Amino acid sequence: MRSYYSHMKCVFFATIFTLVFATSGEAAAHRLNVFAWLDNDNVVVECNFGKNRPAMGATVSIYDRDTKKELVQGKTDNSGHFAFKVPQIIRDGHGLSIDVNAGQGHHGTWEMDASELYSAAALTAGFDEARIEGQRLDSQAAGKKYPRFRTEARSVENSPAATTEENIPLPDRRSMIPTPQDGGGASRPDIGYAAQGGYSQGQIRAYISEAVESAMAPIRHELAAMGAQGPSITEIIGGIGWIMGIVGIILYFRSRRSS
Amino acid sequence: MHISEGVLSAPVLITGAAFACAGIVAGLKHINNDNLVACGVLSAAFFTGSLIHVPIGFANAHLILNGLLGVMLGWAAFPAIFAALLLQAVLFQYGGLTTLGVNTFTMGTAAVVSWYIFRWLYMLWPTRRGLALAAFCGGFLGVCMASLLTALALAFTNEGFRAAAGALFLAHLPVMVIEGLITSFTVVVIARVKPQLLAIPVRLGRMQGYTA
Repeated sequence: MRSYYSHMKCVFFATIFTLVFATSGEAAAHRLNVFAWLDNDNVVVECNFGKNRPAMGATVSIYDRDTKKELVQGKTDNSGHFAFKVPQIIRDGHGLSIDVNAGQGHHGTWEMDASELYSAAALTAGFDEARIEGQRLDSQAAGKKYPRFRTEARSVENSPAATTEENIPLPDRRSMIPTPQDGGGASRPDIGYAAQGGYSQGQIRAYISEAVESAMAPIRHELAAMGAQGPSITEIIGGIGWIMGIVGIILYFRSRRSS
Repeated sequence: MHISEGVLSAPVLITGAAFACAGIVAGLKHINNDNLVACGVLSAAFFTGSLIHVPIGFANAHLILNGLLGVMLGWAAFPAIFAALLLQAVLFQYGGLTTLGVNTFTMGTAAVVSWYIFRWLYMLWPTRRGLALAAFCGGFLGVCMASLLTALALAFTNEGFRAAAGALFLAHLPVMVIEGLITSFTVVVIARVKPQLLAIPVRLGRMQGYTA
């Protein structure tokens, strides 16, 4: 009996010890978290191993979810980000499958529905010509204000998405929140159209959806990041409880057999 | 050290699972009423050990504690590691259910090998210092062997054996030293306080006033 109680004491203290040890300090996960969100007409992929531990230089491959064809490939930058332009293929209603390999057996995936990307498609389809000019000037302006992704995007040959731009402005938190200066269409070069006779309905719709998109980007980021959190204390205690429960069940059956 | 889902090909997964099954069956035969509770406690330690991030080093490494389990439990470490990895896969999404066999095999085999090395070293030098050194080697080699075996499993992927082995070894070098120290400390304390918890008979000076 004495031995039994000293055993139980050992179990109790070891459990307390492991719990305290595990929860003190940074209980960092060791799982590759991958998530992606839409920032205007770019898809931004973020990869990390937990808070403040970005997965640098991980290989990101983007596939058409329906045809399994590889569309874009690249590597994450030092902040664990990789951005690419929404491929034209989603106009056909195809979703995207994002596949990240960080080496040493770390692998993660993220799926994006076509409906999730549809607003970007509508945006680009709305007024491609006005956009191309605007984008060029916008990206020049953005380059002065914000750092850029240093990703080496390499488009896979013969893919309809071969429009990956080398320099996509970094969706820094500040840049995600539209300011009166750069939000909406106020700084657009084609603002002159308004003076000449106003925008067409399609253009107005495109501008509004663009403004909504840039307001949505930080929310999308938060939503995506929520699904990629490390283990909580509930799960840790739950796991220890499972192990102790299994030991208890085995002990119970063994004691019945011996008595 | 946990290989995620979707990295390995089916033949590697099946081979790993087969070896893991063999190891678990062999390990279950070594579990008895005396070491069952120790098995559970150490399995829980392994389960939570992966949450402890080691901040020194080149990459994202965490404690593994498979060397400690091997040194303390011998073959019985195999089922203990399996149970902990299963719960990690289900609750934390570390590793994965398809790669459970491979992960159990790499960490369990390393644990058993480190147990044999620990036992051999202690037989050569059966003193307290010898025990401390043998346990250090057991903890160190447990992680070392696990990284080599994981690299072997990754040899059939794009990464290749040499790149994977190099990256894993470098990232886990601080972990090896830390786990060697943890194992050494734990085993010496348990040998003094409760030597019957160890898988090998250890005779060291008991603490004053302690009667079993």
